[in-house]
Amino acid sequence: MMTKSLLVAALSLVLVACGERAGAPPSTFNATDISSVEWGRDFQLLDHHGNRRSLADFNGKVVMLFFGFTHCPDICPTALTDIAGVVEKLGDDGSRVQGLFVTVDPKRDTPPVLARYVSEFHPSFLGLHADELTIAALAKEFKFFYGMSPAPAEEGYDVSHGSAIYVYDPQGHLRLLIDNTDRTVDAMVADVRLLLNE
Amino acid sequence: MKDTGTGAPDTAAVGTAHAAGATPAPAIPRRKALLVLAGVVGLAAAWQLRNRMAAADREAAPLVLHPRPRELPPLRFADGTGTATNLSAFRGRVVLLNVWATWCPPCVKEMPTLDRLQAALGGPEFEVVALSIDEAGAAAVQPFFARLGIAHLHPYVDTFGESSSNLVAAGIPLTLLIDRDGREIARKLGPAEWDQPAMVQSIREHLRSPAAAPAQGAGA
Repeated sequence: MMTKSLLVAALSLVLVACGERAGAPPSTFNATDISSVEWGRDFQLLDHHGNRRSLADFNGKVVMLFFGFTHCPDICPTALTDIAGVVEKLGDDGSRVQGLFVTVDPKRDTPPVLARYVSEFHPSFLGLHADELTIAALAKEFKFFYGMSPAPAEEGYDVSHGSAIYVYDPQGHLRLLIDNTDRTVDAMVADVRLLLNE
Repeated sequence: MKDTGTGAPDTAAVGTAHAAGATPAPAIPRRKALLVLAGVVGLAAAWQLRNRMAAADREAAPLVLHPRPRELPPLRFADGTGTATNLSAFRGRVVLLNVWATWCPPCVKEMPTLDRLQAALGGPEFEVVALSIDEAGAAAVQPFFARLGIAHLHPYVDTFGESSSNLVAAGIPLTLLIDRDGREIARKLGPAEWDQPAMVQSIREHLRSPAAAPAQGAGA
């Protein structure tokens, strides 16, 4: 029975960030302010052109990073559509936003697949990948849990994951977490503007 | 999909996520648990999970109506020729609004069933409005419709980005049943088999239902 189950491992993205922020002024951000967390400081991945990428490559830009996969089984997250919306609505400042898509399904999301996929949202977006071990370690670092069902007999398998967007300021510090339940492009634009103008 | 045995572990996982999210766990000292993000994000994941359970059952299930109709934000979009239109243009007709994209596999999967639903029920009383949020708009949708043999649906596109920002929070496919007064009366996240007899029947009944019909002589 266990072998038949699609998903056994914990699939929920559960983030519990602890820190003493007593007396801190209420955040002016729409998204959750996670400036005080100590994880998610950097990554070492390959982009869909084959270039090595880490946060330092995007200095001066607000980085909006999203974990996902291109073969959504049931519901396709619209995070990349919204990030593209942010870039568009920012006008000239849109060039100071970098959308990044990290695949948690590197087997199927090969560089050509990634290239085609991210460019459907915005030409400036980069798809990032690595081997499965590296991705697993990165997901752990980002408190991001995902599961993959084996289903070897089937042509496909399913990946389940959370849908939060991680936002870095132009200095490369992880600042905001945008959850997907009440996200609006306008709220995201306001937050990104604040970060760009700091 | 084939495996109904997934229910148990999935349910367990969902339960865990809920528990972690809903309760600022007594185990964690209150003063330390300043940011409990588990709720929103965990629930989102759980939501996806739940949507995977008994997918076949859900996809064939008829729509569940809201207890009360919900007002919708004004929604502008464009038709296949690039002409701007909006939801109000459909007042007086029942609409099944499906928000989708060519890059979304489950959306693609259900598209032929929406096309068949439009073939069966589309007309002066009812229309399936398939609204694509593809960045490339009609240029992406039209060849795609041709390739899939979609013959009855019009390629509406979300030119203004309004459906993605006003309507869709978590993901697509998202489908809304909208009454003759432009109000949302049912909503489904995730794919369905829209041409299943039970589904067609439930929409057909709605078209007939006096509650949903416009008052005689009153403008919709």
